[in-house]
Amino acid sequence: MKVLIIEDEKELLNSISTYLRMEGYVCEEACDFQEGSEKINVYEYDCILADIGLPDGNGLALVELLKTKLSNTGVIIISARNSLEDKIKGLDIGADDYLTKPFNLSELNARIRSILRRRKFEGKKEIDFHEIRANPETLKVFVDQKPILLTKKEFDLLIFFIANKNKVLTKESIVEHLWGDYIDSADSFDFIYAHVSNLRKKLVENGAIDYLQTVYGVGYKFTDHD
Amino acid sequence: MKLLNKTTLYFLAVSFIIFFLGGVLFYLLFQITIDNSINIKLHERKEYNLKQLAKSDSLMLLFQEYTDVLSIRPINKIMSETETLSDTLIYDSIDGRFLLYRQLSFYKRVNNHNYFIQVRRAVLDYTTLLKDVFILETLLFIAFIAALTLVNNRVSKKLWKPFYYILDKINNYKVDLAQSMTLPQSSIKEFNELSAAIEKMSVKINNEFNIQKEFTENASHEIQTPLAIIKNKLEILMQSPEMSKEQMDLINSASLATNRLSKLNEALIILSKIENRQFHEVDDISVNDVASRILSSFDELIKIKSISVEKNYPHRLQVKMHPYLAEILLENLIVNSIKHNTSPGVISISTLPGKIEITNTGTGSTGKVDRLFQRFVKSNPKSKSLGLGLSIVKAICDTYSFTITYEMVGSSHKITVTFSEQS
Repeated sequence: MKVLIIEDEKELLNSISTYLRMEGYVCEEACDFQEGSEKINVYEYDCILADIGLPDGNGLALVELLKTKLSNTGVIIISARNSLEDKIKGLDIGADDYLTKPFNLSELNARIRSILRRRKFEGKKEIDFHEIRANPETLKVFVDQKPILLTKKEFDLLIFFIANKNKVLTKESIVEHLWGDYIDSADSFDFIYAHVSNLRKKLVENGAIDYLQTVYGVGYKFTDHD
Repeated sequence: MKLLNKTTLYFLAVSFIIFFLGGVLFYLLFQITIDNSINIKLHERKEYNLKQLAKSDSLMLLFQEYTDVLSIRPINKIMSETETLSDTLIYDSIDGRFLLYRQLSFYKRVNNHNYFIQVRRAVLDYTTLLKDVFILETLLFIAFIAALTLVNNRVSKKLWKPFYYILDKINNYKVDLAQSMTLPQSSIKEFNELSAAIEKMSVKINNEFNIQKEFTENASHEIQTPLAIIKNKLEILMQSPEMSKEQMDLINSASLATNRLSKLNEALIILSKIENRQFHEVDDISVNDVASRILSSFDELIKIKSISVEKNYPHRLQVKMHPYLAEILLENLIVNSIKHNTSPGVISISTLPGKIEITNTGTGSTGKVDRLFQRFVKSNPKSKSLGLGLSIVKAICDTYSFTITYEMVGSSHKITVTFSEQS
């Protein structure tokens, strides 16, 4: 999977590509509009992350440029401004998603996976993790072909865990993923424990291996390693 | 008091004084004129009588004239050469009262006889004059007031029309619409000057507002980027293998603090955006639908806390507001009712005509009820919450002139948002 990251903030660019490389993506970097548009014109990518506020141009113009190529590339807009107008405009001209800085890398990863799943695997949209199989369209989950019943949020949580398998996920990133980023998440951490426990119980009771590990006070890790 | 009434009042006071002084002057002038004409007449009469006296004798003359207008007494000696003018009262038998007369007295020698002659003339009754002048003045004054009131009411309304138009424009001026005011020209110089001044001011306000807005946005941008860097670096650091518990705790603390700072920044930006009225788009929002959607998104949390939800939706509540703000408003209130609830507990949401009531069971008083909607006020000082949720709610309510009230019902907390008085 080839991803192009267009971001003028070097350190941020660095973090994003480090994390995505750990996830197994091939990352290309561009730190301004010029470089970004050249790369878009020359190469094909599976997904592009574009910052709106580039020093020499607006990232939205890159999205427009990409759309003229009629490619099947997924686009995520990154912005430091939580501006509704930017968001609506971005999605209008064909971006698949919109993230506001600061975001969790686990969240970005989950969004990229979701886009790639929608765009690239027309025939097979299911998510597999060993004996667990989840279908994002029907919201059905199977453990060894046996259907199990999850609530919508439990389903989202499972998908989030699988997308970020083998990664430490903070409680905060889980709260934000499930309930959006403007709720005062600090108070909701207590809920998360009960929430994760419920999911774990349902999976294990239905015969799945317990892949969930608690990571000290930080959060959780969904992993098939020890 | 209206400017018009105030000026009219001053005007009336001044015109009253002028009318009064005018009346006095009028009266005095009248009196002097009459006096003069009487004196002239008396002198004419004197000359005439002397001529008559020269032709005939005094007794004849006495019969010719009434005694009250002429008296001629023969005397031995001329006492004085000068003539004197004086006023005297003479009883009038027809009127049955004393009347005022002006008399000219003099001594004269005619045909070798000495005479003391007095010619008189009835003087106009000054009290009658005074009364007439007073009545006339009063009538004039009343006519004057009537005319003034009429002019003020009819003409002023027309004259002040541009002023009230400008006033209306200013009242409805919204700085966040980023447009300066355009006011029409009128035929009155002062109003045109006012219009021009206001237009100039609105341009200035708009500029200032835009600068402020840009600053807020830029500040948010500048703060969010370093925060994003810290946050992401910590996230990557967290993934390193072989981390000890102590190291992980350090990273976790740093990560939580960063997260808190970023939330704080976001909340303050939203708050300032609301207070700057930067959300001016308006949609028809179904409060019932939004509340239900939010409740269902917190379904799991509600179940985990063993909270039962009672929805009373006898009324479909439609409100005109920005969809994003509607979402924030209701989400904050509903999340609060979950957070500050007991376990097990009850949340009851009722939509009534024009208002929504959210009640939740809780543990005792929240203390500072009057400060509940202020920034950074927390019900529990140990809480990790930012204490901005209810101030955001309040700011949204203020933007749309909704009223929000809080009351304790037993140990339950009840928040009521009144959108409008009518349904």
